[in-house]
Amino acid sequence: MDLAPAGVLETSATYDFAFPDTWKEFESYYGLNVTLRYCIRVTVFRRNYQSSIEHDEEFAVQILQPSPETNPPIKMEVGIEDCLHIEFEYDHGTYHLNGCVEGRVYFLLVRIKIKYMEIAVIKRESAGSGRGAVNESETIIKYEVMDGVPVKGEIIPLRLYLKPLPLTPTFRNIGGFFSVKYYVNLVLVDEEDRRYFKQQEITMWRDELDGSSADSK
Amino acid sequence: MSGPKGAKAPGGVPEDAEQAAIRDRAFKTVRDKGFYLRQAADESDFKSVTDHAVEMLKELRTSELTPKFYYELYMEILNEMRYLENFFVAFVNSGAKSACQIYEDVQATREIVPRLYLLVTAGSVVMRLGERPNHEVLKDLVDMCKGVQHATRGLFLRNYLTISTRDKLPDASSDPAIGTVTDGYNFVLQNFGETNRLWVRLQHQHAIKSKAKRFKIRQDLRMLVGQNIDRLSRLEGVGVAEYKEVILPKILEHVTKCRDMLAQSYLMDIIIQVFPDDFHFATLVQFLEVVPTLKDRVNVRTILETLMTRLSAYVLAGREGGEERLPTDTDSFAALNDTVMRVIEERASMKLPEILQLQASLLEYCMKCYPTRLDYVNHILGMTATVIDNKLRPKPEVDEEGNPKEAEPNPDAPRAALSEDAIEHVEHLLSVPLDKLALRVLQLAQYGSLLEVLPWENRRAVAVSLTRAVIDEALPISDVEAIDKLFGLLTPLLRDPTDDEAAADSSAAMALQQAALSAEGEVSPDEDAASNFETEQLLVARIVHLLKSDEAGQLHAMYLRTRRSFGFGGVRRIQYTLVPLVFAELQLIPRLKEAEAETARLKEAAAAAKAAAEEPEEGADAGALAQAAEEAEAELAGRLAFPARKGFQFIHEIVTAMAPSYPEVALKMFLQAAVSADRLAYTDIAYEFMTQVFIIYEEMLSDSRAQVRALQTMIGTMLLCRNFAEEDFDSIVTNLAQHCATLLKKPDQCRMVSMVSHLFWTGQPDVEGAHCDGRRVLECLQRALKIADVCMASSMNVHLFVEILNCYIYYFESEVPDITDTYLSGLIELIKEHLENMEPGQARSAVQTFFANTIAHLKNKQSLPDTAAKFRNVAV
Repeated sequence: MDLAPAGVLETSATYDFAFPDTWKEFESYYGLNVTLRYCIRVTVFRRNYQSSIEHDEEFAVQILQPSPETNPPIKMEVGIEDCLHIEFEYDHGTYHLNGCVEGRVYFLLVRIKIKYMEIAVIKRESAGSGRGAVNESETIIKYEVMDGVPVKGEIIPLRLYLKPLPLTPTFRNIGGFFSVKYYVNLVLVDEEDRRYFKQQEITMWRDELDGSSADSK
Repeated sequence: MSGPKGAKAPGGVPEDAEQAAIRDRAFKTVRDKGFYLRQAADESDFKSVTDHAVEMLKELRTSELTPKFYYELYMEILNEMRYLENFFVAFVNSGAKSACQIYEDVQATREIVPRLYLLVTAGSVVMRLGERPNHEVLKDLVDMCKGVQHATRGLFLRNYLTISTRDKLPDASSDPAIGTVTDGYNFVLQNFGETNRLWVRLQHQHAIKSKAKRFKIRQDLRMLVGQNIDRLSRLEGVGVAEYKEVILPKILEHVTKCRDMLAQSYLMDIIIQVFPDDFHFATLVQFLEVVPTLKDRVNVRTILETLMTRLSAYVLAGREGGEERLPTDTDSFAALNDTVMRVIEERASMKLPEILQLQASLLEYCMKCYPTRLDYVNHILGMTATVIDNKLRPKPEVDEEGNPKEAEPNPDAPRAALSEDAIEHVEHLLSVPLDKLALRVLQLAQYGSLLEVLPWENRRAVAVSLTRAVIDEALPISDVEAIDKLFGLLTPLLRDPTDDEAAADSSAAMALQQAALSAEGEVSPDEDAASNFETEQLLVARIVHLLKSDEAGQLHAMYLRTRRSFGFGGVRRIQYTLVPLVFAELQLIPRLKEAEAETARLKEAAAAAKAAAEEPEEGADAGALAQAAEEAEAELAGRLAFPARKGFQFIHEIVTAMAPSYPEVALKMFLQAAVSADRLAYTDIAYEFMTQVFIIYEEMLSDSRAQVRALQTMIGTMLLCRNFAEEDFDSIVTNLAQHCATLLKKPDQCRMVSMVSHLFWTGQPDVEGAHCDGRRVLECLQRALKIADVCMASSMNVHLFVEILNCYIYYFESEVPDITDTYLSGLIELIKEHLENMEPGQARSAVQTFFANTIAHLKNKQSLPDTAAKFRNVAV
């Protein structure tokens, strides 16, 4: 967009601009291998062969999404035969960024000496495609949810507020190039530090603009 | 625990010394973090405060400490948490954050133990400031706390929850907006349930190797569980209905489900302790239903005993205030009894002494709450007898397939003996009803059957208690049947055991043996045993005085029965038991005589009525006459007629039986009987009794002192008798005088001869029935003087002279014509002579005083105007 015709700029001048029709399809994203930035670039073209003066002013884009039409809970029964049998339940499969993962774990059979149980939120970023694809996982938080050995029949509540965590909405195949997915990993650790875990994807979405995440740049 | 000091027990937690070191390190961290926490708080730096709090609370994540040390650490941190809570409140009041925000913020803590402590603290703040209704917060807290499943850490966390919410539970007195009492007790119930589960789990955590040590630790921690139940009992607005419908069923569900011996024992006990007694009555059946299902090792006896003790105290306290507190809709005895029965039936492992103790407690309960229900008491006794029988009967032999070899258990198979414990308990059980029931025990058909399982010596102890109770109660016993029953129970007091009976009881056998030896005079019996025996027999003797009846004949029949029972007692017992019976019968005889007269009168009347009925006079109503005749006959037939003579015969038989062993006692009783017979003018009987007295005297009394005593009482008795015919009296007195004169010792002879003189002058001649023979009085006295004269010891003979002088004076004053002043003067002269010849000394001065007093008396008589004339001529 041209702001001013060629000429001489001797004093400070203010130019209004607007990009009313520019479609910002994706959210800003700063990842390990992928960064998705938006910026406004001002270029002052100069005569002769002098290089142009350029300045980028970055801004963040956050895209509000509608709440999902259905948001069924995640329920799953897992176990190791004759050893451990649990059923866990997260109230929803999809969470907004200020949401709270709530759920519970039913212990149906416990024959191992469990030391503790935690849930971890894991972010998985994948970029590229084919042979050059890069996958990177990052544990956002490990959160202890149970201390000690439960007995058969015990129900342990889970609750994790997502707000304090540095999360982004889930991105799926952005520009045919990268994805960001989130998982909740339920981990049981026994007295010999063996880990038993089950990972479940949760989908993140944004329901309100978040000032802090823009600052976090 | 053993092992080198400071060493880690293999696979377990460190030892005490090391524990203390770990604790001290933790203390230091807590203090450091606490210091920083306060500093941050002063700067209102919320983030720092919570961070330091988390660091501090992380110390509670340790697994190194046993509950004892963990508790100390917990208490240390608790102080800081109070400070933290106040900081939160101040922070919210400053407007910086809402309590709900804090509640959410602290949940970002990654470690669960610190997180939940902070959550509880924040929740407490939310409730204090009223940002959300208490019931919602409570619900969330109690639920979230489930995250800690480690027994020790969980228990203390739950304790923290309990104490933090203690003053915030909604109840009947709180604003409905914060919740209802239902929310209140549901919260406590849930927290209780979880606490209990953790507590039970502690038993199964193998960090501490020794099972016994785990048990001990759990016992120390039991209050953590108990305080929840205590809190329930103190919630305002929990009424009987809520308790019955919700609270108790819920607690009992935990009791049943946990299947843990310690938990079951403790919870059952604490339920009884903390809830009001009227709740217990309202839920008695519910509560009791659980009791038989408790684990085998739970001591259900103590549980039931505690319950019964409380309930009975409650009922008794109510009665003191005039209020009946026993429930009307349930029969508490039936409920308790059923439970006891079930427990006994279903717990094969329960030992007999335990069962007996339990039965005794039930009996005590029954005695306190249902003092009039003899049927209950009887039932308990009967069941106890049955249970003992079952337990002692040898188990039927079992073949390979587990079927009993014999179809019927052999009733003659030898039964196992009762253990000493069991014996003691049966004895106690039988003593329980005695205090209250005393004689009414006789109405308990089963009392005897239970008594019979005891060995002889223990039965005797029970019999003693029974006797005491009966005597203390002092109710009259008035029918023959009761006597039979009572003496049936008292058998061990009334006779020696047979060889068989003694064989069943070694101590009885020994006692018997010793008694036999002592009877032969070979060993002196154990003094204690002897005095016990005497006490017991005296007790038995006192029963005689309880026998009472308006009808003399009836009472006589009762005495007959009693004599028969006492008769088996053998020589050692009858000296105590038969004597009161004799005296009782002596008292009865005048009534028998009256009754005899009454019967005779009735007979006459009946005969007259009959005659009148057979030949009715003109104008008389024949029907009425016939009826009157029948009534008279009937009344006659209804009477138990014993003539008074039968009474004397009864006494005669008893005393004759006693005479060979206890001649002196028998002699006295015969004398007593003689007086009684004489009074009732049965002179022939009185004479017979006197004859018996002489027989005893002559044949059985050889000791000279006993002879003197006997003669004294005989003389006394004869003085009392008024109705003897002259010749009978003469022959008795003559015999007496002869016996007196033939005593061995001269002084005795002398004194008794002077004493027997009284029988020749029993009154003035004008008194009816008096025997007056002054000549023989004089003869006696002179004979006495002669005897005294030959006494060698001079002090003795002078003394005797003075005594005889006094006799003379007595008769002289009594106007006996043959005793004149010359005799007196002569004797005084004689005494004076002898006195002068006496050696000076104590003996002489004693006699001198005696004599001087006598002379003073005479001089006094001489000086008095009434008697001066008579005494004038006595030379003093």
